[in-house]
Amino acid sequence: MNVLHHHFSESTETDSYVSLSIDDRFETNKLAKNVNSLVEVSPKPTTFTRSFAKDLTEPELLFEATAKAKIWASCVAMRLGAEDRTRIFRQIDRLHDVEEWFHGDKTLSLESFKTLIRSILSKYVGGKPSLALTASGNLTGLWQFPTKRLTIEFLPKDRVKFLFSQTINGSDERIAGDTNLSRLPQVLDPFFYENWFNDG
Amino acid sequence: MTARKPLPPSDHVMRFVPKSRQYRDADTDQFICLAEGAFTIRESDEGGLSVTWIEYYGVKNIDSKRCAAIAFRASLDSQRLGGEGVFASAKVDDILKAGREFEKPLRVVHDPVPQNPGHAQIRQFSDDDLMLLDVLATEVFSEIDRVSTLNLP
Repeated sequence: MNVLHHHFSESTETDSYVSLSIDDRFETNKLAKNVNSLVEVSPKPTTFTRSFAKDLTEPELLFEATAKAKIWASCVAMRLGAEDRTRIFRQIDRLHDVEEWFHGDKTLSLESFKTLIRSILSKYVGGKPSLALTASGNLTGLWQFPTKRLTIEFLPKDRVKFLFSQTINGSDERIAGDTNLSRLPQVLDPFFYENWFNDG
Repeated sequence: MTARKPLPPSDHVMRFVPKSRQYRDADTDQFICLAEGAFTIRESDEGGLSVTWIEYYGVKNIDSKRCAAIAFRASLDSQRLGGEGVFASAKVDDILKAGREFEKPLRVVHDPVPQNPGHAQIRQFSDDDLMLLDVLATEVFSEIDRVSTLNLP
């Protein structure tokens, strides 16, 4: 087995994952304010908000993790296609299925989820990745083809770890690294970056 | 940490992988493969990767796997396993070889716990190398048994 391990240094370029016009930004801010007003905690908390402050049962913890992710995603819903949004929400629900949950595991990290959504909005990734959780609650995505596969772990603050593997002449080859989200296209470019996310 | 007896290289261990640590089809929810997260260390793993020694419960077959699964379940606080969870099995020698490939001197040792006397641990293991986790998930722990097909009582 040939094994290469690449570490990519942090990019010095500014974050450019979402390019918005002034009108777009106005629209986004307006929507975000509307959403925030819907979820804002009132001075007199409702029964619902008070229950979050107590020790939560496992089903409540699972609900809270998925609810936080969905509420945050609703702020950017207009930029996330309806199909992607529905599929990702369904996957997040499946990952937090009460009947299947392993007692004591960590629920989804909201910061990891934000990195996934930003990567989709900025079109750094696409397609229909399979999603799973790590022990620390980070999301990992898998894109798989007959002789090659790509795994990306979405870390907080727009960092990603990736693993590219393929079989050449019966021999496995793996290349792993970590980088900033905004550098992902350049870093994956040698591995036919474009093809991964359009069923290539 | 107490020195424990290494398991025979020709024997097998199995690890429980819940649904959240599996890659499943985004649309159909069908099982695809284990995720790397199946081998990231839980707090409950306590110093090593927790597995169950199949041969402790007899010659490796579906019955010894069932016994191992029942013992594993009994050792949990929750005493329950999701039906779409899987037990992934591996040969001890293949685990050791994978470790050597990534310069990790892994040891697979018997570490009995209350309710699961066949409990074992993969020691000197760290989950920081994504490539090792991928090898374990795709090549080493390659025998998959769904909980629902083990017909646990």
